[in-house]
Amino acid sequence: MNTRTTNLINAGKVILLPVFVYVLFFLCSRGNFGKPASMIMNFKQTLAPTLISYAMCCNMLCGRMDLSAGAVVMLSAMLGAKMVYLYGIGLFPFVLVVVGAGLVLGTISGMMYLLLKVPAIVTALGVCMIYETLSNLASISWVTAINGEITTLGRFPYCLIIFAIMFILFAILFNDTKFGYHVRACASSQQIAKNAGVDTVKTAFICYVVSALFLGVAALLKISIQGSIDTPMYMSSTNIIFNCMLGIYVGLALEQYCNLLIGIFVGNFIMNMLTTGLLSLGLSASLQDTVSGIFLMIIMIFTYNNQRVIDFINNRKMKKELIKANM
Amino acid sequence: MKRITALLLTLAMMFSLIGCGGNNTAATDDGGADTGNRTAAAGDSADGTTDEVWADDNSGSGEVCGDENGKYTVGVIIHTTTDFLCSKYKAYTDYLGKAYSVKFNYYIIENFADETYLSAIENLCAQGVNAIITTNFSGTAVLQGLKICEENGVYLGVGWSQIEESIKDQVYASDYFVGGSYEADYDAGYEIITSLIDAGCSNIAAIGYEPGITCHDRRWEGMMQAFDDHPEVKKAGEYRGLEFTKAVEDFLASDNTIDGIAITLLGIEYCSEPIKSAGREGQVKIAFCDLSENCQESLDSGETICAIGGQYVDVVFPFVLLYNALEGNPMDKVEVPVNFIICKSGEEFSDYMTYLHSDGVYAWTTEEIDRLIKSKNSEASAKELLQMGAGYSIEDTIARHGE
Repeated sequence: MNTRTTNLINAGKVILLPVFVYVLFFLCSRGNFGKPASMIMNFKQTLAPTLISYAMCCNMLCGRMDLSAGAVVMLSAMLGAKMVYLYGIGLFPFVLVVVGAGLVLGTISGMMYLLLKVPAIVTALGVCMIYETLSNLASISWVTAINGEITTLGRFPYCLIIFAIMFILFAILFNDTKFGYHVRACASSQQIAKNAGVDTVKTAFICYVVSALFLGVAALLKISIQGSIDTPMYMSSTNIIFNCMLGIYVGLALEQYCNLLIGIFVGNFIMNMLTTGLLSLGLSASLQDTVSGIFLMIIMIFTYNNQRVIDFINNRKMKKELIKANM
Repeated sequence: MKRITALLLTLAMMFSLIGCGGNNTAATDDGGADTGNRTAAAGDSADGTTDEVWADDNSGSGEVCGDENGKYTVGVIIHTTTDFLCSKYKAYTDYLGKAYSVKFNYYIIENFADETYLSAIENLCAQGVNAIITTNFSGTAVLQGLKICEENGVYLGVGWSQIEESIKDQVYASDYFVGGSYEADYDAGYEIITSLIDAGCSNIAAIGYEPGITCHDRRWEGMMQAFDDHPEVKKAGEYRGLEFTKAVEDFLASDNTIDGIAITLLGIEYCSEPIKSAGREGQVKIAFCDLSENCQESLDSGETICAIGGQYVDVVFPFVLLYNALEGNPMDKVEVPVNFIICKSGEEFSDYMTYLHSDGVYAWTTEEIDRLIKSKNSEASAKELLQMGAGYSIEDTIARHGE
C-alpha cells in the first residue's frame, strides 16, 4: 500500500470512532439525538475543552499532571468577568485581562513546580486550592455572568477563528519546533533526554508557559460561549479538566492513525457527544458519569488492543490453514 | 531576561488582583448586563446598591455591619455578601443592627460542607460573638454546631433552612437554640415547573444544585413532584451538580425540542447565553428560584416565565428570636415558614423592587419589628412571627407601607 492509501485508511479509522458514537446514540434515542443544530452546538462545546487538552498535553506527556489547569481557567475568566462588572471594560481589554491572567497564573503554577521541587501533582493541588479561594474572593455570586457585546468571541465564526489560530500555533509548536522535539524526547524518557543534552528544566518551564497561554485562550472561549463562569468550590475546577484528560487519552490512542492534535480534538468531540447522547437517552447525572466511564473504557480497550485482536484472528486463520495443509 | 519576564508577570498579576479588589470605582447595578458606557470616575458611585455592595468598610459593607459599638455581636455565616440576594440580606442586618445596637460580624464560607460550617461556628465563638445566625446550614449538622455553641454560651438561630425532623427534639431541647426560619422551597420548586407548563412548555429540562443543601433539595423534590403530577409533560432530563451552564448547553445540544428549563437557582445567568448560543432565543422559556438584577429585562421580554425569590427577609426571624434571647426574654422556639415572592411579569418584579428591595426599603421597618421585641412589647410572641412569615408578599407590604 502506498502512503496515500494508508493515510486514507487511517483517516477512515479516525472518523469511524465519532461516527460509531453518533450512530449508536442516534439509534438508541430513536432519532432524538444528532440533529444538525445539536451537532453544531456539540462542535462549539468542543472548542474550549480541546484547547484545555492542548494546554495539558505537553505536561501530561512528560508525566506531569497539572490539576490546577481548571482553576487557572476559572480564575482567569472570573477576573475578566469581574472587570466587566466593576469597570464595564470593552472587548479588547477583556480579552487582554482573561488571556493575560491565564498566562500569569499558569506560569506561576509552573514556577511553583520548578522552585518547590515537589511532585507536580502535589504542587498543582496546592495551586488549585489557592486559585479556587481567589476565585471565591473575586466572585460576585454562585455565578459571575457577562452578556451582550462582550460575548462576541463566543459566536461563530469568531470562536472558530480563535480555535483555528490556536490549533495552528500548537501544531507548529508541537510538530515543527525544537521545543516539540524536546517534549517528545522527555515523554519517552526524561533521563535519556537529559543525557542526550535536552534541558529538561527549561523544557518543563516552557511547557507550563505554553500551557498557560492555551489556558488563557480557553478561558476566553469558555466564558464567551457560556456567558458565565461558576464559582468553584469543593475542588470543582478539576471537573473541567477530567473530560479534557480523557480527550487526551483518546487522542493518544488514535495517535497511531492520525496526528495527536486531531486525535485530541476527536477525543473531546466524542466526550461531548457522549454527554449529550446520554442526556438524550434520559439518564440521570450520576448514571451518565458511570456510563460514560464504561463507554470510554470500551473505546480505549478496543483502540489499544485492536491490533492484538486482528493478530489473534489472523494467527487462528493461519493455524487452521496449516492444519488443513498438513492433513 | 528571566528577571524581566518574572517582574512583568508579577506586575500583571498584581494589576489583576488590584482590579479585582477595587472599591472606589463605580460598578453597574445590572450584573454586567449592559457592557457599554459604564466606566465612572474613581470615587463616583453609580447608585446606592453599588455602594452597598462594593464600598469600603466605613459604610457597613465590609465583613462587619450594624452598630460597630453595639451591645451585642451576632455572627452571620453565609456564602457571600455581594450578590443581589445576600447584599440586600446584609443591608437589612445593617439597618436592624443600627436600630437595636447590634454589631453583625459576617463570616464568609466558600463551600457548604458541614465541616466548613462547624469550623465557622468555632471561629465565631472564639471571636466572642453573643449569637450566631447560620444560613443554609445542613439540617443534620445542627446538633454538632449547637454543641459548640453550648460550650461557648452562644445562641444559635438558623436561616434559609429547616431542622431535620429526626433530630428536631434534640435540637429544640437545647437552651442555646432559639429557632429559625425557612422558605417554602418545596412549593417554589413545584411552582417553577407548573408555571412553565402553564406557559405552554411541554418538554422541560430540570437542573438543580448538587444534593446536600436542604433548600435546594426541597426545591428539587417540588420540581419532581410537579413532573409526577403532570405526566402529559415530558421531562427532557435531569441534572444535579455544579456545572449549570454546561448542563444547559448539553440539554440544548441533546434535544432541540426542549422548550423549557427549570433551575433551582439563578436561571438567567446560567441559561440566557447558552440559549442564545444555541440559536434558540425566544423558543426556550426559563423558570427559577433566586431573583437577580437581570430579572426585569428577562421577565419583560418573556424569556423568564417565573422568577421566585425575596428571601432576604428571612434574617428578621432568627434576629428577633436571638435578640429576645440575648435580652433575657426568649420567645417560644419556632421555625418560621416564610413565603417566597413569585414574579411572573415585569410589573410584579418592578413592584418587588419598589416596595421590597430598592435601597432603604425593607419588608418590615424597625417600628414594625419593635412590636416583636419583648423588652418593648411584653405581649410579643412567636405567633406573630409565624403570621409575618405567612403573610409576606408584595401586596402585604404595599398595604402596610403604601404608595
